[in-house]
Amino acid sequence: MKMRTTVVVIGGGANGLFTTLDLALRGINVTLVEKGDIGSGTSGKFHGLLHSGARYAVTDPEAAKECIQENKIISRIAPHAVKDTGGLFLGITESDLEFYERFVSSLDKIGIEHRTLLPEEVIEMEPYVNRNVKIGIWVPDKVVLGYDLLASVAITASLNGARIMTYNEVIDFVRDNKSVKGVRVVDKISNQIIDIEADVIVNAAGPWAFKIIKMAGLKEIPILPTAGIMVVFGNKFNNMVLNRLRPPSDGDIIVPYFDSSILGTTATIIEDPDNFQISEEDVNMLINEGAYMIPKLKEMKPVRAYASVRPLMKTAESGREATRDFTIIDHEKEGLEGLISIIGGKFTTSRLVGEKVSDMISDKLGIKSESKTSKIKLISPSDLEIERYFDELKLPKVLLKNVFERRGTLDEERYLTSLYILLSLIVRGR
Amino acid sequence: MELKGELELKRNINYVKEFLLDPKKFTECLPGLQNYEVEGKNFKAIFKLDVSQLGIPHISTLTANINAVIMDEGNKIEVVGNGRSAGVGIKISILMELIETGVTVKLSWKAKIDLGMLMRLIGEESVRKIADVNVNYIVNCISTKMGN
Repeated sequence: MKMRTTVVVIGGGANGLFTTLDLALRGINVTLVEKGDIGSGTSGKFHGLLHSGARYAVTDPEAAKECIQENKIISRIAPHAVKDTGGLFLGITESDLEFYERFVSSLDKIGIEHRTLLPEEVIEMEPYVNRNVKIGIWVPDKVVLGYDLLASVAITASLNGARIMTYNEVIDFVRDNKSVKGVRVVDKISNQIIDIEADVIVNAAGPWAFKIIKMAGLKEIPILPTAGIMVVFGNKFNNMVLNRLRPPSDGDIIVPYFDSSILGTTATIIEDPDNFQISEEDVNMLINEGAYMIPKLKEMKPVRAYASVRPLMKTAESGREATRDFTIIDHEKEGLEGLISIIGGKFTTSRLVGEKVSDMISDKLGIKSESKTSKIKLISPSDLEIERYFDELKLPKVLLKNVFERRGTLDEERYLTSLYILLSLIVRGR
Repeated sequence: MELKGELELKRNINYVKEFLLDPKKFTECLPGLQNYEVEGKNFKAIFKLDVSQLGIPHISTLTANINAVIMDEGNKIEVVGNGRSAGVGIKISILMELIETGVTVKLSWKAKIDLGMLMRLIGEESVRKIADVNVNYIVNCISTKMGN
């Protein structure tokens, strides 16, 4: 089967979805292909933190500025998917205190709101925090409900003309001499092979981006695959995001996510992103680090651990648009027209990635357009007549009924995320 | 991978030797020391490696653990250990030679560092940058503690 589109986006994570939305809002015909469900890669396995940028204020002020900007935008365009918990940076040891002045003056330079709290104020707000806490600095960190946000981006893009093909895996490129003219995908549900012709292909495949680059016949980009491990506790020990007051390190973030506390993260170097096991040693290291902030973590058995893979560019390459956070590569410079790759990035800045990539594509296509993603409201389940779409798309009604009948019961809140899964089904159905 | 250097210490040789053979004093010079245990000439420590040279925005330091022993070989002292950081096994040996030069002691040190998979993945140049920063920290700390 053959299809035609203007832009194909490979990868249904945060970068790919926001790129798709941005292009769709500019009136550009766009199709996204994703080998699993939306958010099934790195974007579904982070810690849930919507950064204020404070974490990067000293070590990477440019990234910090982007974070606080995007923190405000995401909160405005998707309030249903953001919990305004606030965050605290905790000084536990004397050497943490040595970081205070540099930290606070960096926050001031960037313009990130903050206030310093006495130990007794910290403990009143967060009773499980280490009684030896010496200082706390409040910052506007927030929690983002990952799948909910991604599903909102997907449905908004779909209702603005984007085609989102989940469970469609790229198996080859369609080539024409020195350019790529499209992708060949296999629908893993129907086993159908589809050739999608396109003018531009965006490789937003996250940890698999380098496999896509190799598939396109390009020289391998030196990437260092690292895993970020998170440990989940079955109780929630904090109301705000807790960070350690020091240069960023492993085990120094604890995020309150629904009824859990999620402790992360690491930068564990791995050989194969598809074949990685979380070691007990890494879990124990995380718990030992996290226990400096919440000593009770050492007494509790975690319910599970999970890991996301983050590919890092081994060396900075000149001639490419890059912040230290993400890199956008136009492979035309390497002699292959039609392919753009996104390497890296954080969940917090994925909207910005989409904007920058879409600006580049608009230029390539000779279309004068501006990004609208910072100005619109993302669609949530309460904005949609879900039943109507299920009828139109002939999706299984029993699934809808099972979810909707939780309304007005003891379990209504626990099933809210199921509504977002219904949005993902609608998106695939369209 | 090998690193080497020299220090001139304004102490007598017995003082320097006693200092370097004390696992507690050596351990306290590990960067970002979190905690440690000493048993005779053996020590275990958890510390923070400075990896800011790698340019990873979200990680400036990484937790490392090490089990090591300090060996007395006359006017040579050797620290041999193995450990782990960021999922990678580490082996390290530091040989320190002490030579009296009048009122000072010249300490010549040579460190052999094996970072296994990390060397292969990120290359010797990047590993050397990380090693330089952390070894210099240890050397400067020792020098300062000896009153230099």
